[in-house]
Amino acid sequence: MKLEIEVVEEGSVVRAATTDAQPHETVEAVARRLAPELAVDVEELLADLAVDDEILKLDATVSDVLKQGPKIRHRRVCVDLHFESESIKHMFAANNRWAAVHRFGCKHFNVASDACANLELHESSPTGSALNDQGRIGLFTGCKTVWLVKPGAEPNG
Amino acid sequence: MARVWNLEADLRSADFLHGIEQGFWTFVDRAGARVYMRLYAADGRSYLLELECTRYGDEALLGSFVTEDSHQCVAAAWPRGNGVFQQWIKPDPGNLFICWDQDRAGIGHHGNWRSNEAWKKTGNPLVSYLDFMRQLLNNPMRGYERLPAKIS
Repeated sequence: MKLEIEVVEEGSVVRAATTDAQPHETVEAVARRLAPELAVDVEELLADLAVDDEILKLDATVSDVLKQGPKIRHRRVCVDLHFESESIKHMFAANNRWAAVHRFGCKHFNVASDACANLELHESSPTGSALNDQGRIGLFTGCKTVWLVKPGAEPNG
Repeated sequence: MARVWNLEADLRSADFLHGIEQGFWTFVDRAGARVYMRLYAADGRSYLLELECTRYGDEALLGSFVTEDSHQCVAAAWPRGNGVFQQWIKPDPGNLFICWDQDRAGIGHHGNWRSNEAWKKTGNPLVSYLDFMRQLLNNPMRGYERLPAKIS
């Protein structure tokens, strides 16, 4: 059975790969096989696999998926991540959690793990609304600006 | 021109709704000047916060954690934490209060905070208050004590 995974960015298919799969194979097994060809990190790929914008369970079988449609989509969105004076634009799986962005930022900007836990993600600017690490990144157009910041001091007694 | 503060508008503001959408807090109830909000902590627990909003904006909010059923302000309803956390959250039974320059009780303990009127500088005192509570309950640097998961 032919099964195709498409990588979708900004609503357009940017890469695709097809494989012959057995009906009883799981979505996860197929995705792991196609990840190198799609040039996507395996864990990122597994974080968002959808048919008609409905997220698939990784243990769903190929035959289950084919009832919904012949193509699986891996949807990616752009995050323009800032930390102090540095920034990087990176694509993340739309169904991934903000924690993935937080982790990526600390690794990329060389933030020590204990300090990383005290940083927060804020939308648009360092003083913008906070983003919940446990929340889903979600689908959006364009590149969302996000800041990795340390909260300031607060008066206390 | 004097700023007109509006609790109803701030309860509908984009920043307030963003906090709900992100899973940081939910609106529970309102009874006159009292607003009840559920706040979610990093360990999956939640706390019920009563915000007394008399003369909203002109005066600071008065926050206290209360019980689910009868809205009693008792120590068991308050989150716990280390010494850093207790700089803001005062857990002593009989003297429970939030020691922060945007809380009315905190200002009562620190008269010098009143003249600064910090709550007026945020543009949205309600969201400013909730966002600070979000930090307290979620950011490790604020010292909240993450409790083991409840066993049902």
